[in-house]
Amino acid sequence: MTTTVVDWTPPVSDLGAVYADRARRAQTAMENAGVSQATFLSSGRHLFTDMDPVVWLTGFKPMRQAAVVVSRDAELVVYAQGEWEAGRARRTGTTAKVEAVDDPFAAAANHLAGLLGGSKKSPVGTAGARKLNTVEYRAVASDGVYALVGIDTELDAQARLKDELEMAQYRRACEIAEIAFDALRDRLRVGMTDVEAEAIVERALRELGADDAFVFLSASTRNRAVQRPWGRVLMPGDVLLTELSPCVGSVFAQICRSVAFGTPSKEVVHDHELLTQLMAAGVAECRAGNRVCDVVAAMDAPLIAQGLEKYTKPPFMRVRGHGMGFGSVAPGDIVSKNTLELRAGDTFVLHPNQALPGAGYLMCGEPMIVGETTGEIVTGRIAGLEVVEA
Amino acid sequence: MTTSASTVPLGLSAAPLTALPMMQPVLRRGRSYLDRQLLPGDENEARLTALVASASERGLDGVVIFAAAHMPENLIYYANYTPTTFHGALVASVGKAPTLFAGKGGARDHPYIKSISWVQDLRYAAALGQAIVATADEWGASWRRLGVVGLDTALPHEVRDEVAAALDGRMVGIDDLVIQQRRQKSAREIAVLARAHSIAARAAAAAAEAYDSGAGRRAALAAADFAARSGDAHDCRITVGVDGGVANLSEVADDRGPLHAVIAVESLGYWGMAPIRLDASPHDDGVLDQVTRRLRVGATAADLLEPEAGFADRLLINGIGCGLAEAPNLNTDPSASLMSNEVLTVVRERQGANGSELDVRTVLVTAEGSRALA
Repeated sequence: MTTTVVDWTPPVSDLGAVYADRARRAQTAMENAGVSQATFLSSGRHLFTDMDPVVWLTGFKPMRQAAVVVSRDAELVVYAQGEWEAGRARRTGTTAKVEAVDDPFAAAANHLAGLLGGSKKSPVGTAGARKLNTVEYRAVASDGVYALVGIDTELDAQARLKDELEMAQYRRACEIAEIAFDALRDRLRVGMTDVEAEAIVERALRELGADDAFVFLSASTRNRAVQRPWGRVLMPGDVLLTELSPCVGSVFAQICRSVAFGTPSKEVVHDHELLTQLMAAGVAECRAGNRVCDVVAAMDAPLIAQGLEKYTKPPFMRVRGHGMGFGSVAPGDIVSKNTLELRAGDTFVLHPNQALPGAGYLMCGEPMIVGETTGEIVTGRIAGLEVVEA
Repeated sequence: MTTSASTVPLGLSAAPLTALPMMQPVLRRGRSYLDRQLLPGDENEARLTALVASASERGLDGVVIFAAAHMPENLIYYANYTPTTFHGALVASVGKAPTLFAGKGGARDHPYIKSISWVQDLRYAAALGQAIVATADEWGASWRRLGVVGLDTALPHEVRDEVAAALDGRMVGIDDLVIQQRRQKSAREIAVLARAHSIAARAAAAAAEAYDSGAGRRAALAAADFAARSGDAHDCRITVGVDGGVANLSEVADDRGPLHAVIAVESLGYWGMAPIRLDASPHDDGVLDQVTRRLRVGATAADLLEPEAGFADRLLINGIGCGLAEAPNLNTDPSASLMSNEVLTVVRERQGANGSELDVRTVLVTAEGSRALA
């Protein structure tokens, strides 16, 4: 591989201050929810489009269950499952107290019960509980010793403004997404399988320090959607799609690309060009004060003008983009029913990925940062249709 | 409650070190397909037929098997389906075509599932419990109780509550039947497990080759990941021994230090593991040799420890199959008695000069003893 390997360090001078500020924002979320104690929970099962409150608060990405107890004016306590996980938590440099325990959720529950001092039915905030299974949730709920109050909404609101660490990680994730795609583009050839193509992407991302990735990659002469690879030999006439989303320091970014093998049909060229027009229309609307639905309306307008309104709805498309974890996922899905007002600094992928009557499903998407007057495309471009010579 | 390093006994580890920790990805994203030669759909169908029959013997009218993207094992086992990002359920009864609730209802899901699963009645349900009841009602006869699998462990608790409310007490847990069924592997399962094991071993060799060619440690591990995925792995995870414990691949600096790690790959729904060693130091397999020689039908954790009770290594012994760590788990269930055709991994952790050194051995338990899975 020719990919440059870099041990990247975020250009943030005081990481301690970043996490102290997140702890302060967590306290504010708790106040807004009317609770004085809370537990932030991670099952170790991470979801691409969900916040993981443990990861966001501490920088510790657990392999197993973990819980953080947050209480007013007190030190954060991280309960990690076993000494190995506790060691990983401590190596993040967190200033929180880290305890190795058998059952982090039960340990957090005991801690909270102790704080409440037998005050039955006192409210205790939880973040991340929605993803827990029943066994896990019952451990946290502690037989009703206290009343659990979800504070995910309040926490997401506090975490929405990305801090300098998250922004640095987001830009780095965008950068390595492009490098990984370039590595793929350089090696793509007729006769290769989609499986090998996906492996090339993974290798580049791993070399560059990605801690995870959400990647779909598949090909067809006429795609219905993007999928996981299944072993297809790539041949002239195929259109390869990829949704490439590396995670750096637990912050995801995404690019979406379409690659034609051999001379693309005029339908593929036309429809991909149409998607780039939709994309440009959306980017222009990614400014503070606009609503998410305004962005969607701008992207749908060129299709409607061409009599393709039915293609602005499922099953031809799903969303025009979305936020990504493991911090705040605001502004959520970029869909017409989302009336949330954009704020400067919001980050998400904008992608007019969809099926069209001519070429089928195509992809085109870039990572965005909402600006005061327009959106910033972090990759600096709207990628065109790539072509592999046959 | 608190476990310190000094209180963890030698030999078989106390809880919670019940299996080697490995980072779960947000998506299993490598090769996803149906191999009609090695693992045709009728293998999954036969398993489901056997489970439904066992449930019927308990007086149950059908079964519902739940799984999720991060706990897909049971849907892989019975339907060759890994939920992409959420959860799913397989509903079956004697003599009825099974129904698979899967996906988010979009075009991405069902065409893909139909290409890999033998189950062809695919449905999407926003309210899973109500949909399960409606499906059972379609069977044409009144039903009283369904056997449920994974209800409390695979589903988000709020989804579970909706299912429980819809079934309104008409359910009985049968997780024990599934655990028992999955322990003893069929000939095809053993072949698939051996294949996954081989992919892992080739990936480990690729890491060593890259390292020997001058690559840094993380680049060498990335080479292993590439070899695994391009060699048909659907998922690939690497846990590295470091000073004071373990680390994920991304937590390893791209330098030239020594490294002992374990790579796990999933292919066709089954896991294989292999050790990665990036140094030239002599390797001592003595403990693993001793332990694996003692793996035989009827053996328990106690049999494996004696007379070598003084092992200075931490050992994690569990089954491997559709689950990276599944029954029997000799660390949490030391009285579990080994059965023929079980496939086990023995993970060894030793404190070396450079921190934790990880190793792993995979064996098939046979009537004659055990042999390396190959």
